[in-house]
Amino acid sequence: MSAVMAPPLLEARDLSVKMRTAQRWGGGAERQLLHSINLCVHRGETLAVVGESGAGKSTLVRALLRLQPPSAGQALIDGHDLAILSAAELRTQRRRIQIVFQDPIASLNPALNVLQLVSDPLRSGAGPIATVVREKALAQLQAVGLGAEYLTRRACELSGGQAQRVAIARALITEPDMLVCDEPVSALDLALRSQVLRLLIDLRRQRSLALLLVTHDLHAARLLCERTLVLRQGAVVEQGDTRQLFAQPAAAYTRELLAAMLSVDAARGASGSIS
Amino acid sequence: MPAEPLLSVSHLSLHRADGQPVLRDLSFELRPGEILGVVGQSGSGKSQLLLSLLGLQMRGAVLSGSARFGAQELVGADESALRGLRGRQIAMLFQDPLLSWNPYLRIGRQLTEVLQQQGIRDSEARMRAIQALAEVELAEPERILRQYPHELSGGMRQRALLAMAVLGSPRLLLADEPTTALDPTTQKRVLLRLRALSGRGLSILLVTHDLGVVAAVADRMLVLEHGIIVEQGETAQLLRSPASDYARTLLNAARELEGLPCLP
Repeated sequence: MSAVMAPPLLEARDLSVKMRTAQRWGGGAERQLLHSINLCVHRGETLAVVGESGAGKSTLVRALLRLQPPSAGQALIDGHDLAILSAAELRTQRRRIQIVFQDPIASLNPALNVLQLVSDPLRSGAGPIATVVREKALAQLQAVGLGAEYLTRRACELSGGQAQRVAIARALITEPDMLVCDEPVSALDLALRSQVLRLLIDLRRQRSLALLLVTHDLHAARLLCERTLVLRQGAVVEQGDTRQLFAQPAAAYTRELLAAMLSVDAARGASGSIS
Repeated sequence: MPAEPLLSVSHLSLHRADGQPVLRDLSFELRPGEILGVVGQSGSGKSQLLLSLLGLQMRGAVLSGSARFGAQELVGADESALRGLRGRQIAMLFQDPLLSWNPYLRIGRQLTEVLQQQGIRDSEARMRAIQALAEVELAEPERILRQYPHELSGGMRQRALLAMAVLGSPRLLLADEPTTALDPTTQKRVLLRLRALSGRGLSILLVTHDLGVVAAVADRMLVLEHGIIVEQGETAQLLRSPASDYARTLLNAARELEGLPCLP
């Protein structure tokens, strides 16, 4: 940490989101999806947001990047309140934080090849791709373990694991300070899962990237993140040092989540011992 | 003396219409009350195995070998015999709970249908449906009977589906990734229920790519790779010391995710 006073890269202050749900017969009820969330991630830090479906994980990601306006509270990037930025400033700030989504095939434009996909964030408009951009794209592709032979392929010609690597290369090309990964491996097969997680660990070490990992997989949270935040029904149940939280969960709900973790190791309670 | 196997599969092969093999020379047994885990990666043939046992293999595909369910040979059995077994003796549970429900019918109507076909009176069928929903820990079962599938959450739908699958007291349950789409705490509830059912004599063939699920509930397991059984055995034993390279690779991938040291 350079200066103690440096603002967090990403911060939520009492961030709340309400949404009006459509009703069949007029009106519509207002539902609160997030309740006064406070969190911050500094440069190079890793935070896991864990919770079950409907907990508000994806809404939180959207609100943090102002893809969803909050009903109260603030979302800040590097100390800038996103609500008062101009559209151009907002774009610049957002570029420093890149998102990787759950379904890699669905998140990549099927009409583009890998070169176009990876270089897209650096280009404005169609036109031919400059040599320097092409070289950058290739470098990012190699950083995620894919060679030049992939440049001309399309998303549908990639396996799930390859497509998720392309999505990560595309996120990295703007040289962001932070990656936000929303269930980055849950759509992948077991062997690919560990490949992509290992890749994220390596990239983080090499580039001191900050990471916000959104997942229902507690194993992934423990593997990747120094801090963990438990979300339930739109509210923070508890947050803290990951090791501490796993060893001594404060909230009953966290204990319930931990008790539901399955293991392949007999010593950790496998083999018909579910109780 | 070990009980007679309920399902006895030997030299079962499945070839696609173009001659491509999907399942190759599978042999295994399933005893009453036993849970057998079938693991493998996408495309290994796990789901095709389940569908083949029901006579629902791909159009034009050729099934050979033998799969005996009690005294009934499933391979080559005529459609009416298979229909008599499906849903009654052999129940199915698929991954996506929404696709398995008829969206136009209330949960109650779909639950009681199988019982009514067995000649059970409406009031009795309704009572058993309520009990079945309560057994999968769904609150307010009377209310759920009146609801449509879309009104339930994914986890509730999957639990209601499990209740429906076992309502007709089948002897064999074929479950294809039954907990993959579920949250951890709901997954645990469903797995506990599967264990309780097997304790009462139901045999379960549990297809999954999640080794943690197999470790939690399966008595024995088999590992499929490209339609071939590369290894089978008692779950605890196989997870402790896998004999095949492929099983070891899979297991080490799972161990790595848990932060456990790899097996040599």
